[in-house]
Amino acid sequence: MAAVIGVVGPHDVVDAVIPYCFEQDDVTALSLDYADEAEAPAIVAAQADNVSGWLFTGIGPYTRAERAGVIDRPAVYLPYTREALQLALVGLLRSHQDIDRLSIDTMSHNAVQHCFEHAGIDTSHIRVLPFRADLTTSDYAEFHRRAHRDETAASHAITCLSSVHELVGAELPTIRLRPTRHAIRNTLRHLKLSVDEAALGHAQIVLGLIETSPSTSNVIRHLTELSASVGQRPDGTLLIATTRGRLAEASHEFTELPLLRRLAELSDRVQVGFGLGRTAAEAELLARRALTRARRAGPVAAVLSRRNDADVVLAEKAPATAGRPQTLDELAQQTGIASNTLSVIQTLDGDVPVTAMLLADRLGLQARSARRVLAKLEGAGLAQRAGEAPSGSRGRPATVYRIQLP
Amino acid sequence: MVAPHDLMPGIASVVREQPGTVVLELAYRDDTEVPGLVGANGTEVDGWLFSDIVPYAAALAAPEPPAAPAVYVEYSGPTLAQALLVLSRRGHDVARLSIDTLPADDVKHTFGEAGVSTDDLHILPFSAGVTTADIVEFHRRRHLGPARAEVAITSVSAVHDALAPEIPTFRLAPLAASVRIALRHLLLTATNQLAEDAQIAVGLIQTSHGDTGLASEVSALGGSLSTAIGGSHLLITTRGPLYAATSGFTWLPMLGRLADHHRVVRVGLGLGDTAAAAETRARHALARARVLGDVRAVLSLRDGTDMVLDVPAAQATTDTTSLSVLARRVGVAVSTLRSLQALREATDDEPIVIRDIADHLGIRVRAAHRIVQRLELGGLAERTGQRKSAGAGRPNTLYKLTV
Repeated sequence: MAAVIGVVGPHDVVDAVIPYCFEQDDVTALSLDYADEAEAPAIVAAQADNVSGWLFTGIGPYTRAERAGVIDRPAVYLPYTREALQLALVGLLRSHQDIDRLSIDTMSHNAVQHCFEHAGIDTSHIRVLPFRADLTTSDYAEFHRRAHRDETAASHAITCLSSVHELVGAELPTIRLRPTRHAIRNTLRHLKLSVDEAALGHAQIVLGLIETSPSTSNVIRHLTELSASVGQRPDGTLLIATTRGRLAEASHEFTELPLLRRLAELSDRVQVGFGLGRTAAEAELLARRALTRARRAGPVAAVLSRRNDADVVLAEKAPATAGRPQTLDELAQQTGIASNTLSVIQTLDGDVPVTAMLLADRLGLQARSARRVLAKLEGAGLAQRAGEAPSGSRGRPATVYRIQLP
Repeated sequence: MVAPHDLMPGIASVVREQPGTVVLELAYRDDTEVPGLVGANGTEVDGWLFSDIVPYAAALAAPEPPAAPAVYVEYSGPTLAQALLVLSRRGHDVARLSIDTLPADDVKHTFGEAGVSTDDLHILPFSAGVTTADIVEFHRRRHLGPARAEVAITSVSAVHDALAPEIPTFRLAPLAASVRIALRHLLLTATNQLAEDAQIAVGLIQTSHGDTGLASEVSALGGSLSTAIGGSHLLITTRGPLYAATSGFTWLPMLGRLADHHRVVRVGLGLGDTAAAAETRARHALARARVLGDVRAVLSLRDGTDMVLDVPAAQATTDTTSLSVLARRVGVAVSTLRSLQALREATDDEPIVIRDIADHLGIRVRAAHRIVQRLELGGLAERTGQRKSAGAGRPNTLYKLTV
């Protein structure tokens, strides 16, 4: 599948990365360099329609774009991996320099610790300032300067940031870490797979069955946003084939279905059942189950059924109540989460960062089930990913969610 | 996971961190055991992780290469950098090394990034015909003479064991960071394979005698049948069953079967990112089929390529989709599918009833019902008729399994 990768970063790193993009099959790249990291969100917002995935040259521009809420497709950043640091240390050792008194920015304590410990190097005089979104170039520069002045007496400053290198390079012995070829290639491979995943997931089959009182030819005209393929069943039911991506868009991530209101203007009875399956036959069976539920729900209703998952009522957005259902029972029906589970979630302090582990703990569930609950909340627009929490041990950082229940 | 005995515990502990992953440890002492291990466990796994390129290449060259996605851990990133740091720290000159198995280009690049000259570096990249003895010999010879290498770096445990008594030898073992990179790629590739299987496909079919014979063809594809605007039959299906039924988009046996009932059968098939895009391609394909003749089929792929699908010369088509993908498509265990394959062979493909399946699997009739229903939805079982039951009850439905 063809992918266009938008590469965002300072021009020297962008230039270094672009050739690797073209090494990958079916990948082309857009070079989007900036003079100042603060431009990253604006670049992303302006170019989103031209790319299928984002590659940021570092965690800094990535975090800015992420916080600005402009990233709506697969995005990765080049990690300043241990390997770049390891190779820099090899270089220092070979020129007979000490490597046990250093100041290092951007990398995590963990990554630095592992790198030194495995090589049997004492870390008591290694100073680390990990990345934080609120730190500026001058904060990082000041950190290196202090590390050289104070009792650590760092011999070298190791930085991942070109701007910091420019600031302190003239004053202190400074080494700038650059992403290695290995890291660039692997990050790109990962991004390409994520882009494919998004595209393939979007193309997963959804079948819908529509029952409506008078003519159906008018109905078809209103289904354009589903990019559907429409067929007629012998019993008069309308069969609409669509895809997961289109239904997700048209239903605001499977929460409400505005097009139902337009259909309701044509007819006083519009009942729709959608099924999301792994084969067309399974999707049709699920759509039938959903249609049966829609008939019970009322004259104008749509229901989505999935394998091994609760049915979701895609109620039309009622203009008067400004959208979302208010009571826990309505929420339970909408999200497919039991209302007593929701009431426990409601008691969580809104300021506490919620992770799957925390939720599992509070609800007495396995982490896996807690992740499902979070996914359902996210799907219903009631939870947003707010960042990552370091996981303490070696594993992946945990995703932090912000939950907003009425 | 396929790895030599000594590396298995380290790699397995990293893979186990991944939630939702079940690890099947297939350890070997000699890489000639790899094809056997892969062949014996091929139906159990959703994805293969090899400890390095040696077992990976051995598996790929096997008579039965892995059907599920396969990756190997690359040592040329953090793992090699770590080795260089440790050796430098011990006072070795890392510019004078002999290295086996790793790609020469990657090694040289890594040295360049560390600012180390590659003039005195000796690399023996992986190659399928090279034996342990060859690798040992390569290192030995590089450790003679005036410009000799200081340390031998090897990825092969047998080479390490042979060399260690003679010359300084460093065994590369993958760092957790390298294993995680490979695992991440494997998981995404496996997910994508499943997602691709469930991607929408649209078919438009024109026939001269109504829908005779169509229903069973559609059910074999796990599909859904209705009437398109304009009057053709509208077949909605998914890429996986279509790929299998066409032997990888080359033949269309159903064309021959439909031609037994119809003078005219024209099929246009299309794939796309949306249903509408797939239908547009299907219309285009149907138009091409119409130009070609009365009994013709054309498939139009996402990239716009058209393929003419003919009736196969011989009827034998084999489904190469891995059992793990099929199992997840229909939602039953791989072991159940394997039992059903055995049942199919034992009954010589004769139609069977639900009770036969229940007896064979040792489960209740009700549970067998559910399994058969899922198989039907996944296009792996079709109804072929009815058989009067022994007693007074309802006749039993006959099924043909196509697992």
